[in-house]
Amino acid sequence: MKRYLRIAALVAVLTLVAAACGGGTSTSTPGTGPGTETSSDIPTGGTLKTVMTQDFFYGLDPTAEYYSVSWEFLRCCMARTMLSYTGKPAEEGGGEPQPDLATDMPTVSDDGLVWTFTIKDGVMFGDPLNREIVAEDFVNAINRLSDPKNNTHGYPFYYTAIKGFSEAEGDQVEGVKALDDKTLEVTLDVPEPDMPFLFGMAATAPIPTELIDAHYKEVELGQFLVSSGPYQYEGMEGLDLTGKTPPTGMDINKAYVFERNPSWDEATDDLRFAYVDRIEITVGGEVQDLLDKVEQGVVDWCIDCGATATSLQKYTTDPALQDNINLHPADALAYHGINVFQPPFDDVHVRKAVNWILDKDALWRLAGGPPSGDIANHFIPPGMMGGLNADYNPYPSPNNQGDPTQAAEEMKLSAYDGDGDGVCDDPACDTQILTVTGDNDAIKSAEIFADSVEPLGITLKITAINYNALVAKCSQLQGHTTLCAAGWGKDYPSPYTFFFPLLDQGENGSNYAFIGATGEALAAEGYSGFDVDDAGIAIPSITADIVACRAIPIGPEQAQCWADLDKKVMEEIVPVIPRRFPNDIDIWSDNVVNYSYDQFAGIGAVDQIAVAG
Amino acid sequence: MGRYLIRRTLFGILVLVVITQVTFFIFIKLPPGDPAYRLAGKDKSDEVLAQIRHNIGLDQGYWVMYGRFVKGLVPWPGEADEFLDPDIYYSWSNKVEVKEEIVERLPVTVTLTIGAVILWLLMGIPLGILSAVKRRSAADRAGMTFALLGVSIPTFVLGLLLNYVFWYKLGWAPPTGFDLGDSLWQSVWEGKFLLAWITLAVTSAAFYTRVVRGNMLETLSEDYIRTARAKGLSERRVTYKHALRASLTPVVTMLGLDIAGLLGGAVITENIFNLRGIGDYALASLDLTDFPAVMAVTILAAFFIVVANLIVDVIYAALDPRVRYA
Repeated sequence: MKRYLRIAALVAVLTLVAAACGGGTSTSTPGTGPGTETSSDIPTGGTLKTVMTQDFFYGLDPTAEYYSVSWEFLRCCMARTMLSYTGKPAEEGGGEPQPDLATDMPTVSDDGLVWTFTIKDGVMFGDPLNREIVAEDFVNAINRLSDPKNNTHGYPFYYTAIKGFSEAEGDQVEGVKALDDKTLEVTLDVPEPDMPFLFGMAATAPIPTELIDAHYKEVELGQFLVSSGPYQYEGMEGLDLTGKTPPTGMDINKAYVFERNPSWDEATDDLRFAYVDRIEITVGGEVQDLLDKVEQGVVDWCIDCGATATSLQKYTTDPALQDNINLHPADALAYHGINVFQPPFDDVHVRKAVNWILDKDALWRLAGGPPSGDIANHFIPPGMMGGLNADYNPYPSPNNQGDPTQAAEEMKLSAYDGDGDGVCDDPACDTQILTVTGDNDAIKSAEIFADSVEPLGITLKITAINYNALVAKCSQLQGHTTLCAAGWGKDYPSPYTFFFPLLDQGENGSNYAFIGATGEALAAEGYSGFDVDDAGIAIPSITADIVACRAIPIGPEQAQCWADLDKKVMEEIVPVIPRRFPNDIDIWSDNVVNYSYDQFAGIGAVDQIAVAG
Repeated sequence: MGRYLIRRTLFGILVLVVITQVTFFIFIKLPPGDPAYRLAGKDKSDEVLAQIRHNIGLDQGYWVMYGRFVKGLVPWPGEADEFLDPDIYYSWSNKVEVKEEIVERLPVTVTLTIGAVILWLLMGIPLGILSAVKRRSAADRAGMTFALLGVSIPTFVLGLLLNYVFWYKLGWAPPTGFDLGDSLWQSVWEGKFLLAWITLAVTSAAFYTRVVRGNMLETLSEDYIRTARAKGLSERRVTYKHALRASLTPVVTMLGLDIAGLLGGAVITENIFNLRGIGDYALASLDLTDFPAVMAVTILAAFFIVVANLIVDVIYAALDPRVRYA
């Protein structure tokens, strides 16, 4: 959900930008792949000076961190995993997991239940251990991930297919075994095709037993994290791992300093470049002020600033600055969730009518026009499906400004239009739209939304509440909400991380459509008029479709399955009104001479940033 | 005097207790959003939420929870032997002890406060005296124009303007925030506080100018001043020995409360100049709905106000013989 906050912040800062300032996106990814000819032309050494507006959330604890910036620093620098990513954009393969600490992709048994990873020779932990990484270190990580007392913020729910994971509660997970120092075997209860993605997540990075024994507690472990990547905290050399004082380079809430990990052997690492010798992060500051510092060369990069309207206009129009900005489609969606069991939206024709009539162009221009991303016409960002459905638009309209005629035709088919005039004539159409308080642009978006649907006889009262309250109300059946503003970003590069949390399992904290809710749960909260399937799940449901897609191995065939489900969702179920596929934005100083967008984390790949001085 | 102090101290404690209750109610009970929701990741299942509530002590009755947080504020026999019990007062996000943050940040706020106070007293009092003594002169009009502008311009506008002009455009001032590894004193020496001091000082100095001028004018028209002049005392002696002391008495009251208010955190100024003091901490904690930090900072700010009130009352009586403790 913190990833949602990032997106929301991005929306906020971009909203004031006039559409005129956008002259198309500018992608600047001069970085090259490992071993390519030009990578040797990129200078190494120097210090990368960075700032960020807010700290990592849980002290770079690989188990607890659920935030893209944290994931990037763990991926690039501190916590290598069995599989990982190249730090490149999707079009250069940056969304595909590659062997990292593993010698190769894992082998899987015929029944899909046993996955075996082999660990490379010569991969080492940094100071103060400086010892070889062994399979037991991975077992430590999975055991710790299973501990609910220590991990309420992370993503253990993705790992429940591992045998004994849900019962372990921090003790030995039955399905994870170190067969020997170099072999890790993971046994599942049910097939889990996303295992390559799951073992590319920071929570599975090896944690040495020495560290687990000394600092098991959440956050504390991150403060003493022993690196497996090219960088480590300054002051790790000779550190007493059992002591209470973290290394000098780890000053939580204030600053971080990373220096080279002497035990990292680049020969064992095909994914990272590690150009700079030292990385400094200072925490805190106001976004525009930090971006001004970048422009003035005081610092090289603001990691989590994105862009303000002012800086975006400057960097997209000033020829001297145009090479210092990167705009790249994020694997994310800005949308409105529809409660498909709440009148009048329990009628699919009403949901379709709203999709037909919404003035997406106005919303897009409000968000900043071209630099803010592309108008979204479906659920899954195309980049996550290998470009499939890129041109798919089930509700086309002239200039994306809405089609009142088609919308009225759709409304006529609805039970809420008794006289068939294309206008809702039921009191249920006098409803509300929830948005976030304190954000004028979010409220303006809601106003555009309300104005758009008015011709359909739908009157939306705009209710602005704080973010926590919005999430609580929109994700609980008892809220009886109809429309909620939302945003979502992937956890790993699979559409499953959209379909599962947003459109399955009913009341799960993220699913504003409540698809997958049981009839019993709905009835208990006063909902009526729905049918249920044999499993007692209220219709519509996509649980079976998700299972079907996941039964296909990762690859083009599975991507096509997700793309088909994307269409089914938009045409048959219509639980969302997609608004925009947002861009990620990075701005850097003249001192940065090499940059690459990391599709996995959605920010610059830190290991691929090189500096001149 | 002893009874007066005891009574005022007890009243101050009562005020603090009321503030703890109000703060607790606002942040724990009032918002419809459950803190556990924010702290949970994407898995907001009932089990996870219950676990989070248990972890942070929000799974008990209202008064039990409130009592726990209040007890944690001060040393308590058999429970904690220090202020801000680290088992209760830690960040719900990154687990950092609130006391640790406050101890690290308070010197920044104190430095900001002291510098700003010195500056605004040096600006405000002389300008006020000058305006009063040279009433209706060009100096008076200039002083009052400054006062009008200073009082009118919001802190955030002045702060951003000063930063834009003197750092971004002219490069005369250093960029905001401390440089990595710099101590507080190094930062002061490098001028990191200068624009922040000026920002705070200008608005307050303007106000003080008006107050001192008004008081001086009122005092200068008193009978005893006329008597002093009639006795042949020099105008300088009349002004500075007789009028000024009486005129400054109300300023002491203002100053005490202003200092206390700033020590509780100059939220906007600290934010603009990236000074990681108490105000910046309060803002960040509010943003994260990090209740233990919010509670601690609120109580700290209230404590400063209560203590300042007490001190001001005592000093006031010392300065003004007409005031008696009752």
